[in-house]
Amino acid sequence: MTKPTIYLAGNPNSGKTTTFNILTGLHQKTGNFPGVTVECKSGQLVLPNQEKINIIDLPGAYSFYPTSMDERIVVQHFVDLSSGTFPQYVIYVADMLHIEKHILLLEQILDTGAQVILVLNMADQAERHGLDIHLDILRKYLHIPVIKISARKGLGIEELKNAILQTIESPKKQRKLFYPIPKDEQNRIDQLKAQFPQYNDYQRLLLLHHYQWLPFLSKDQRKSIQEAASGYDSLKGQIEETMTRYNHFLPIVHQSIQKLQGANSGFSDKFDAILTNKWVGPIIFFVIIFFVFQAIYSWAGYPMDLIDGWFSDLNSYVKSTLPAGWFRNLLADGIIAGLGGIVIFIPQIAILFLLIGILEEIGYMARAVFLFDRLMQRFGLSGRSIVSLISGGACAIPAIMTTRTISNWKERLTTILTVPFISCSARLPVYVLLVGIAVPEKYYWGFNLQGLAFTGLYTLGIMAALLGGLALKYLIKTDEKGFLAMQLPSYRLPVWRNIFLGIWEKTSSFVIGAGKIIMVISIIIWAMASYGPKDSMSNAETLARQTAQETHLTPSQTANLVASYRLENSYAGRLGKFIEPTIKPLGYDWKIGIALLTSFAAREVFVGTMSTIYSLGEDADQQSLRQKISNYRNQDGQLVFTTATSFSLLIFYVFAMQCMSTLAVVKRETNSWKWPALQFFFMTGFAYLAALLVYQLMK
Amino acid sequence: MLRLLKQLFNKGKGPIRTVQGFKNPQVASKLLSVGILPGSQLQIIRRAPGSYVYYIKVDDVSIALRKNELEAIILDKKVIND
Repeated sequence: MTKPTIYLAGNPNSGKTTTFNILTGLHQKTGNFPGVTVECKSGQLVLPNQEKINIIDLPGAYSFYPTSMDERIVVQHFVDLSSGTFPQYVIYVADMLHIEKHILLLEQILDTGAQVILVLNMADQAERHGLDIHLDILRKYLHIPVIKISARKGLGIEELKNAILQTIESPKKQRKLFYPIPKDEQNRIDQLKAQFPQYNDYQRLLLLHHYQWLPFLSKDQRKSIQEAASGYDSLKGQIEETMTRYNHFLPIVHQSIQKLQGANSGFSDKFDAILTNKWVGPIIFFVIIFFVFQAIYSWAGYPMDLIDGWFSDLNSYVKSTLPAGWFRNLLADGIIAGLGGIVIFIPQIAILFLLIGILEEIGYMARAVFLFDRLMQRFGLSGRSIVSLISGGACAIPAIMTTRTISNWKERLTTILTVPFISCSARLPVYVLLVGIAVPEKYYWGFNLQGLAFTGLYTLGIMAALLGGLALKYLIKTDEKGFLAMQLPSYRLPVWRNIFLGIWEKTSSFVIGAGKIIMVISIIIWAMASYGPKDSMSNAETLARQTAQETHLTPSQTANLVASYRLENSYAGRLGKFIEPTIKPLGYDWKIGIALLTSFAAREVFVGTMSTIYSLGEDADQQSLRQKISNYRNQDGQLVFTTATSFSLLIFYVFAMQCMSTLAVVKRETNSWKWPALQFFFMTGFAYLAALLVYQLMK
Repeated sequence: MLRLLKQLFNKGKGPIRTVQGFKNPQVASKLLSVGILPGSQLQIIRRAPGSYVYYIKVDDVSIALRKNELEAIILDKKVIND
């Protein structure tokens, strides 16, 4: 016998994920359900007899009548008997405080013939609220094991594990359906009996409702269901079923609930009176976000400097110990530099997800969704998008990963496509350099001009994201209905295990997912910048050394000059010259062209490349780089970095899609190259036009 | 002052009324699944900025609904007092 797999199911906010985390600990991995981009978490659980079995966490759902991708996945699992993923064993997690809202999906799952254990979660909170439940009444009604647990405190977990073992060892016989299928529907599904012999009546009924989108059905199967369903009002049937079930189980559930005292504290309501207030709520929200970003930039600074230090130490260690040659350079300037470029983002990502995780866990994010849903809707986004847009201020990659919580596909796609407009932390070094050149450090009416320029750049990014959303609202077609109808869970203390597992998961998926691509790109760019046609490379070096001798440069100045000449003659340099005609109207020369190309790996590479091109060596500090390039003149003696050129570059960097890793993540999340390609050409094209306009107007 | 604050924060709180049914089947199916059923006691607590999203309480559970979702609910005329 193959080892059984246990599926966790339940409504959103039932504490399903907390239960999953406590059952599996760190033995879990995240992937996608086959064919769709709904997150699939799986893990391992050790049973009391030391046997290890797999657990899969199904997405949260309210019923078998789906309104989002997430919910579709759940239904699909319970009606697909062809691919071996039918959840034979289910742990159904319900919130003990609101148990009557959780029985609908439970009954539906039971009617598919699955073996289910009902877990009443939040037993500790129920106790504090003076609420208890007669388990025997539920057991008698449902004919399944019912267990009280507190996933937050780890209570009742051993009992649950024993029940799992027992259920696997001695499965129960299928009992009759909870839902008495009405005559008309019975007649229809009887027509399906021949074609779907292994299905039970309720599963056939689900086929009747959902055959149009269920992906595993063959053409023939779909056709015969369509015949059986002709003239069938599916919506009416759904409502009928839901109402019948509720009418049936509500009295029994109410009978099982025992209120000890009327001890409902209602402190959540008091918080909400302030936090979701029309006027005060948004202000508090912006204050919180302000502190989140303060924390990201101030806390991450120190570890980022450390990481930067380690990698440059490692780089010079490799350069000083290994013999000179291509391998040394590849290792030091390609691989180590590439790794450094990945690891440097970890502190920001980890801190961002620590803070967002806390806000999510205590229940605040649902309130932010409530406050901003309307505003976001106007721009084709959902209230949920606000979380992603905020995250985008640190890095678009984890931000795009947070869109998985948006249930509506169109709103999710719109969020994914617009998030990269938000100025991320990689743009910051570029802004610092260019604003320093273009804007004088002066005060007007008490405002620092450079500060104003920064604010302007960030605002431009936000506006671009919102307007982009507005445009997509009319461009993307969908038949999926958008709903909000969302529970606002009571405020509660965070479960730290969930938060740290979340950080671990997001950070590792960044390092592994995006890291690979950053790595490859940085090696390619290294190769292009270090190699060129042989003759011209050695000519360039000789010429540089001659010039250096004539002008009596120090050895390190000489080395920088050589690097600069070599770069000019490398493939990257040639490419820069090749694209010069297209970027000339924007006010850029070929040197800036090289930096534009290299910064395609990651935006902050721009600064390093500028350093190399203007022969400062890679570690030149901002001040000297700024001075040098702002005074740089081309062969005709004209300033290269005029105010117009600098502004044009700034505008280009605000809008352009210059991040290979983001594109890779978008590809992964949308499961197609179409969207990242569209995103790239649209954003970069828009950036080009905007920069062109700025340069031509300011020139 | 305290009373003024209280007024500010509790403005817009509606009476408690009983859910009778639904107008639009598509929305109904979603509302039913989040636990808004005929017989449920529903109270509007407040509105979000933009006055389109509502914070409601249904049988002691807080739920956020869009206006079109709320309008699909048929409420009993009779008001239940707190």
